Amino acid sequence: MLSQNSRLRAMKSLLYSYYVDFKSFYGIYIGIMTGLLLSKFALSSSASGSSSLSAGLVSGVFMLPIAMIIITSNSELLKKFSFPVDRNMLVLSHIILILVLPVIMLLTSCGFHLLETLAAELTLSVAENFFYTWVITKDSFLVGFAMSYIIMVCIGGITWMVFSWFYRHKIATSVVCGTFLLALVYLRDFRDAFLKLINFIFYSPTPGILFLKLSAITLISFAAGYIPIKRMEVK
Amino acid sequence: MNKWIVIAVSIALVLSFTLVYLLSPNDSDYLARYTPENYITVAAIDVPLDGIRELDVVSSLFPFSYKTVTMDIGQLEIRVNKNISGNLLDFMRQNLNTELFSVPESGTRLNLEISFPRPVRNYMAETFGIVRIFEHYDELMEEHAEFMICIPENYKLVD
Repeated sequence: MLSQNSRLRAMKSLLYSYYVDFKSFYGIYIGIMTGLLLSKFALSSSASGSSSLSAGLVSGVFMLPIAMIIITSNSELLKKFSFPVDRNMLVLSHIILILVLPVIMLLTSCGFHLLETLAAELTLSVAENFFYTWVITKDSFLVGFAMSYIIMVCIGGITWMVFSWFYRHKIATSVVCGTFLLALVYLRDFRDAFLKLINFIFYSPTPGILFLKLSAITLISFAAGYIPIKRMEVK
Repeated sequence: MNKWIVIAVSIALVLSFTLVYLLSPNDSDYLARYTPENYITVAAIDVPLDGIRELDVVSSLFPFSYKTVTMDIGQLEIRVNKNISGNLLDFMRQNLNTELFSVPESGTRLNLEISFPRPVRNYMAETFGIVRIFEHYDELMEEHAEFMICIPENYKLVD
């Protein structure tokens, strides 16, 4: 019981330390979204381009892997170890991060979407040559949110797995990844097979099936990424 | 202090999600905005009504989108959706330029050029672009168009 309480407290403090680390990460995300919003309304003559919802997904897809590359590095991992934090707790905290960060990013993009709409309403009241349309339906919003979430989680999971291996086994992982990339560039059959696999994953008649496929890939990535971090205990 | 800021931000984020959801129409209401009855004619051009002919919209209507519909009408009509925020209808009545050129070599082909002499700004509060990988949502989003170009039945649109 005492041990459980101690582990729970350690988990809380671990998550809190990640929360402190990710404040600056979130600040960068807010900065990107604000920049896009300002450029759309203050600098662009057409106010066109993708809305904050899509921009949130794209920014997240680029930023989440960077965060995963950082948190899986040896120096970052060792910083987090202090009794009773062990590898299991560390991996669990990473998984929580991968699952929670996309939600925060996507919810923030919803907030920016409302700010964009507010800016559009304000512009509408002062400029007679400005027009805007709300091109969102309830269903498309929910499906888009769920798909964006699982795509970000999946990309985050894969990056976490690859870099968990990379930092522990640099040469072996570099050789495997390098061979994979070279085969993708130079071997036509391999490239075709890979594209077929991508097509198989994304060619889904329903959003639900695609969600399940990407969830399965994420789970496999979590399991595969756990192995090298767990092995650190033996060393 | 820090804790209260986090709670306030969390509530604001959840509220913004809820607001976007509540402000959005359902699919049938959305589609109802883009039925032909919601488009009002801002320009009508006389065109030859004999024989099978071709029409090519040569100019871009950027930053607006348009769709073309073949109808039992005697003129080529350019219509504007009345549900766009801002007075697009009146603006286009005053500022829309349309010119029709016949292509002499073809004999049957007409080129339509549409332009706005004054600068216009258009913002589309679009949903997540990722939904377009699904046919249903792609078709749904394609229904959105500020302009509708209505062509008589003897005309065929050039791709």
